[in-house]
Amino acid sequence: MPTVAELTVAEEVAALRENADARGWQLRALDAVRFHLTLPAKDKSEFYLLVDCNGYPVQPPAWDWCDAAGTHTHRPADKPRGSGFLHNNGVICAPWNRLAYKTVDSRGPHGDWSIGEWQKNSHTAGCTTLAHMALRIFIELNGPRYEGKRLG
Amino acid sequence: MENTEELKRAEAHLERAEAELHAAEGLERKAEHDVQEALQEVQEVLKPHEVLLEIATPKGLFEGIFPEKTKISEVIEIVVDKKGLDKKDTFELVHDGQVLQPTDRTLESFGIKRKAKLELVATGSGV
Repeated sequence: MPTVAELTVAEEVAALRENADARGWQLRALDAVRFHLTLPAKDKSEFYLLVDCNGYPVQPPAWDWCDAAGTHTHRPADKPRGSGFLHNNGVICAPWNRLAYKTVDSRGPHGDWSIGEWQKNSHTAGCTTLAHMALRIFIELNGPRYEGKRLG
Repeated sequence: MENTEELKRAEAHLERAEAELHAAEGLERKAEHDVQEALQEVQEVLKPHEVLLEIATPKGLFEGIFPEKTKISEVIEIVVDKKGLDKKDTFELVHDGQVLQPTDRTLESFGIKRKAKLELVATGSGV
């Protein structure tokens, strides 16, 4: 029997795939709750994300910058530079990213957020589906706060 | 002897690179052709002063033709309604990384003409 996370991902990935196909973003399913997504930035560089939706939607997914193959997640050169949302700790700073919580990941900037309340956090602002989260990341990579790739 | 082997390997490498370059050039020509064809199709469908919007939304893609004088707020309202998005949320339209504000301005005033790709997201949704 499928888990709630598997059912939710199957339903939400359809919308994400529609956007990805229209924009030429590469979306690769790794299993029922994990996928690899390629997003372009405004300077034409490409960024890769390994997305782990285990426990979703009770907990937010983990959006982790990675390499093209999806095997490395801790290399500075795979992460964007910027401010605010593109946090200098190397994690996406939003309540809908599991890695933003210090209780989950030591890089997480927020010890003050409760992971169980991620959908009610005022900074989530309706960003509660996978397609929405991917769009927000794409916009940040193409917006004024993006400052290029980090140095290796 | 060792130098000769190295030279052969380098030549083989160069040949492969050249073949890959030719293949890439072919793909680029095809892509340019496809773009021209798509643009021509758009010109045939659109009336003067209309714009075809392809909007990536939290519920997938929305495509629609709007008059250039449509206000951003009107586009947002239509897309939110058609895609069944939560009307309690506040949404914004983004074009090339730029939030289209104020929303009482028209598509035309932001230089959006003929065909454009936009994103619709909830305002905020990050830190």
